[in-house]
Amino acid sequence: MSRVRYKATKRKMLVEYQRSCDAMGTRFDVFLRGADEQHLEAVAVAVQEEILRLDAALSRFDPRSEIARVNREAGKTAVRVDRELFALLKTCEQGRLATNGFFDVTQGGGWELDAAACSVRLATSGVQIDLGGVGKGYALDRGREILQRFQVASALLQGGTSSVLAVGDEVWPIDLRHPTKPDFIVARIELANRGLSCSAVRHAEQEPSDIVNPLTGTPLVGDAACVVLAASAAEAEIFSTALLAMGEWQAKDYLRANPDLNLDVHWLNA
Amino acid sequence: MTITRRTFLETAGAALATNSVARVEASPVRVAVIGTGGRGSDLIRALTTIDGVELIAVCDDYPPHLEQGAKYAGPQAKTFVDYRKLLDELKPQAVVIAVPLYLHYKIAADCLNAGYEVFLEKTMCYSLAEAKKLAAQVTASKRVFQVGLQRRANAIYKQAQAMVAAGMIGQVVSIKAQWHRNNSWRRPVPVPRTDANWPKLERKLNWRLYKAYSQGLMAELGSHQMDVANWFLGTHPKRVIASGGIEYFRDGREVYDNISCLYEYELKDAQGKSYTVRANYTSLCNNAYEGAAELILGTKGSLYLTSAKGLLFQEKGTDVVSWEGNKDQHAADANAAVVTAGKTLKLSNDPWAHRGAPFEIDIAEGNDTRDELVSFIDHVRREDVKTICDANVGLMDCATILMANQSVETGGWINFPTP
Repeated sequence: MSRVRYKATKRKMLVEYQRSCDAMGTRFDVFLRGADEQHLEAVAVAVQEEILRLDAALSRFDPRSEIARVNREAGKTAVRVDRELFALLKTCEQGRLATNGFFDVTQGGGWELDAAACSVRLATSGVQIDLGGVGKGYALDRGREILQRFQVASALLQGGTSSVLAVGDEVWPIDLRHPTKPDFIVARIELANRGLSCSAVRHAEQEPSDIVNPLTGTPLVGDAACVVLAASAAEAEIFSTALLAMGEWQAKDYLRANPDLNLDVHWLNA
Repeated sequence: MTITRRTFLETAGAALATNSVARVEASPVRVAVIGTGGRGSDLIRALTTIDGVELIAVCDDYPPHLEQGAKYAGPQAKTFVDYRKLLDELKPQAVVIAVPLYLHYKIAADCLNAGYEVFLEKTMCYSLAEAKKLAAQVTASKRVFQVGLQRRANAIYKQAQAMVAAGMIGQVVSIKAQWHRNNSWRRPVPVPRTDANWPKLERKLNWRLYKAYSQGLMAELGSHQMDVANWFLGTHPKRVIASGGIEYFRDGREVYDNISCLYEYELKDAQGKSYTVRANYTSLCNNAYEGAAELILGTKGSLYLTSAKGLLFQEKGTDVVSWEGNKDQHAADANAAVVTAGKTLKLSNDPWAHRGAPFEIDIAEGNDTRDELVSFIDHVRREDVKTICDANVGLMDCATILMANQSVETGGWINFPTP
């Protein structure tokens, strides 16, 4: 569960602390560096508790979650949600507008967000919100807030081995594995103070894709993968999903037309 | 008894029928939240999703927590550092209290005195004397009062309780419950240990670890689960013997990092003869095996309960004979038992195989923290003092967990205190 290594540096002993937990149907890891092991453990647990809290709120598969409540009721009537969830849904709406509909947590179904009432209404009772394309990144971003509040200067957070957030100026090397050839490392990315998300049409032995083009409603085809680096892990996840749905050539046009998005984008093709 | 889908659904219907549903009426219920740390923030988020609730104020004497609570509560909620000022200025209809345990009595008593309906987080009070005084005050005040033991609002637990009451697991013979985790139970402190403010902040944020403010694992975790035992058995324990200590996290904490308790409940069978049900409870901070769950063992079945799912395992070898005799269409005589020549039935050697496939209780829709608040608000609106977890339940739960801590201190059996 936890592993501690001591590393001598020129000035002081730095402690590394690592912890894992299962959430959002996958594995999350927290790697922290600092001077005080007891402090790092407490911070790592706080980050994990935050991830687990968000898992309980955002999982559409758990009937107890807030998002499941919205999916059950918001097709019939506007549903009041908490301010945190509303802000996240608003971010998703901004992502939808910014990507011309290629990122859409309602898969093209449509919704109405009412900021004054802090409520959401789905276009029909058939529409369901799926935060699978942003939840892991959002959880990592909330983790970063905790790290900053508790003065952990250097950390790497990852969820599902597809969303990563490096906190602090230290450079963390990330190796990218090919989506369908597990033995093949395609590239190395050096990550500092930035979020990374990798979306692939298909993973090894997966057919068809679990990513749907929201404009057409059809699953993506091919073997492409798209890696996006952005200021936050949620942004990286939103854009890696959207750009993959656009396809490489349309995505390149889109990025040329929107230079101030400040994204680094890498494409992997079979 | 063999469980058919029909009998199960009838029991389920009975349990669901008791759900209270908040009705939205013209005037909202004006609610204030006192204590906006981790648990307080959970309650604030849940309150903001309930129709007919107007969250008018949040209060905390620790600025970072107040700021966090205000963010979740929204701009309409005023912020206060001192709860007495909040009560004087705003006159809320109901207050929700989620402060460290040692402050429960004082703040809840002040709120009742000022005429407000009260939702108080578990455990009801730090000491038995306080819990008794508060319960008496609640009764005298005729105010709506609810303790935050949210399993009382959880559809799975309500269903399971109805199943036990209906005799679906036979006579309850034993209960085994645990809350096992693997972390230090320590909250981070926002300044380095060398900072002059560290000792003060450490005690404020890690109040759970110090005896002046906390009753340790039994109050923070065990109270939920021993309440399930009290609820399902319909009584309080008669006596307890417990052992606990600080064996691993020797970091200056004062409360035990592990505890084991053996409770005895005295019950009467259908013929009026008394018998004892023993409940084992353990809590660990350094092994997470089985997590948080309660296991109710009966003569006809076992219920394994968690907040997310309940599992019913039927006992084998009594009602159901596995060797069903001759159902083979090729056999000459339908009454003959069949032996397959040269073939022995082979069973799995999996250590869990004896339990068989469980019957799942998977009916939870909605989060029990939200549901307990929906129920509280509903009771406030209807001025109905019979809440799902009233002061007497809270008092009994408080006495149940404190007697275990007392047993650890004195090293012997402790009887349930006289009323």
